[in-house]
Amino acid sequence: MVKSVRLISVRPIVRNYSNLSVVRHLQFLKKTATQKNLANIIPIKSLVYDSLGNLCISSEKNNIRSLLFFLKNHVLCQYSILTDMTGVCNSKQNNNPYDVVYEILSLRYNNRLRIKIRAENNSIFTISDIYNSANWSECELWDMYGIYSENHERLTRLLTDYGFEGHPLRKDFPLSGYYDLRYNESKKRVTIDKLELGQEYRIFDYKISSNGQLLTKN
Amino acid sequence: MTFLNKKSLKKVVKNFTINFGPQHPAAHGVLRLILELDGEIITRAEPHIGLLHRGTEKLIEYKNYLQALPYFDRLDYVSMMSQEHSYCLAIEKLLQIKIPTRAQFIRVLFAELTRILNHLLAIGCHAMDVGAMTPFLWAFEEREKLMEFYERVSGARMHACYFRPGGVYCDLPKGFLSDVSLFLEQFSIRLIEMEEMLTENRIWKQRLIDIGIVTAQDSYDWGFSGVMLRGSGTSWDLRKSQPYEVYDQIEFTIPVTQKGDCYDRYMIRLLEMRQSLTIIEQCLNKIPKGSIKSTNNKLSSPSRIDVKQSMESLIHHFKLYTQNVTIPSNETYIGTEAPKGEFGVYLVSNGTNRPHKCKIKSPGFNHLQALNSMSKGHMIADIVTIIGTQDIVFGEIDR
Repeated sequence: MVKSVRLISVRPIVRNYSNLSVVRHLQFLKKTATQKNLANIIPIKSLVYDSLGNLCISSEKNNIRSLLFFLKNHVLCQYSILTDMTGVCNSKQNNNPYDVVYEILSLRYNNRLRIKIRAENNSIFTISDIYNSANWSECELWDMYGIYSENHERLTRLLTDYGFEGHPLRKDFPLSGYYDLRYNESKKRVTIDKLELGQEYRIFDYKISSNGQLLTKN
Repeated sequence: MTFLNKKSLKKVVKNFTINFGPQHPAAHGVLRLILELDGEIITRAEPHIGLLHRGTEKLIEYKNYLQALPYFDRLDYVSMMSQEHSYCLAIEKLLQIKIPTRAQFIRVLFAELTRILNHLLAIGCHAMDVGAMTPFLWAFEEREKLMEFYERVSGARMHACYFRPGGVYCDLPKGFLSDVSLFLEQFSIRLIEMEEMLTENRIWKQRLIDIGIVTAQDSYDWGFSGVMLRGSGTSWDLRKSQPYEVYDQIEFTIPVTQKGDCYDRYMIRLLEMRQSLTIIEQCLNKIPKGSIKSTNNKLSSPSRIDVKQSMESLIHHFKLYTQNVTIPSNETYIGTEAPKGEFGVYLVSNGTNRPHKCKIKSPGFNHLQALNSMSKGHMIADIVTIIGTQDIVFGEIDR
């Protein structure tokens, strides 16, 4: 058996939250969202529970930094961990089709929050000085979606190849890409060739309408 | 005659930059690290990732929900079922479907077996990188026994594709649960053997104590989760704080340490394996009889008997295996306590049978980001220790 165990769970940093403190926290969030005079400091456009019970905030691109700073640092919020940051294609719009979604987590109040902003002009303001974990997430956002993070110290490509052009997760980027990068046995090196697909990617998506006709996906 | 001055003897010293290349036995997959060195001490470590990028998220957008499931096995290829778990929970949340209790217990059983699988590899490979070759072989022998369980229940040793939206693929075979309990009995002895080799070993302690110290505030800033958080004093475990499946009915403790160095995290992984043994034992005692798939035929296919006798079941079977389930427009984020940390799936549906978007939040992504700050002031040999303690697997980082 293990002799010298250095387990000290005498004062864990996250105290056992009681239901009362969580309720108080949620009430506080609701109150700040609805108060008009706080709209400059804490710009929450809407704070809703969606149909699945998740808490969603939608906000503006210009105000996201002050909002996140507030949520991270206020004693009744303490959303200290930025879990995830991603872009979603919002098909309802034509010009600026990408939303950026932030998922934050409060350890103290055991609550998750989702914040959605619209990335106008395909750019957002960086939050990597507020949350360090946003560093690579913003690089990935740039790489995959082409959403630029202003004031980010080093926005580079992260997941794609070194000379890659294009933003793969955009809806207008085809699944097979634009060119074929492969090891050419005759030239004994990696070459970039024209794309040759033996068969087109088939999507089986037929719906039967009410009068029995076969509809293809539009 | 020119004199030899002291000035002419001074040399200009530059920092040496080396490439801890993509092909390296200790790089845990394909990691390219550009290390800027000052002698032997690291001033900057910049990881270049993306060498294993397979376009998983893009491919998932073109597949229906069941076809997208095997992608999740292949993300973190050492703890396969824990990612399937997040995905299945996300789909069930979007459809607001409850799965039967027996399926939930089976899922928890396999989640804990997967946790043991993962920690065996983590400790074994970490020990091998640091220099202790033997625990690696012992750990892999135990992994083979666990992969035999995977194979008995799903047919595949590694990428089982066993958790399906709506429950599990098929029921446990006869004699499975008694074999699991036999495994549990001999496994605690194996764990003692590994502990005896490593825990009190002064070489191990010298290599691991005070290396890669992470303070609690740093761990929050960098978005750590799982063992990295618990190593620095935060007692946060998603199985306790946001319980999913039947974790609220099972009693277990979570090990937490205060210092935040590599030795603490090694201890936590070892103790988590022991806790997994108690969880599995409770599952074996509490598992009820019943069905293992949800009765909602829009999500899980009806049984063979029904398909051969009822027209409606036949139609459901056909629709499921051609078109699969259609989920109304909604979005959800589900995070589960995977062995490496919080594995999250952000799933957006758009009313068709294919996901509109699926973002995979892997714990290793945030851990590797912090490699630069964790390894400042350490030496090259310590980088290997730090990568091992962060439990980096490239399948989930690069996706």
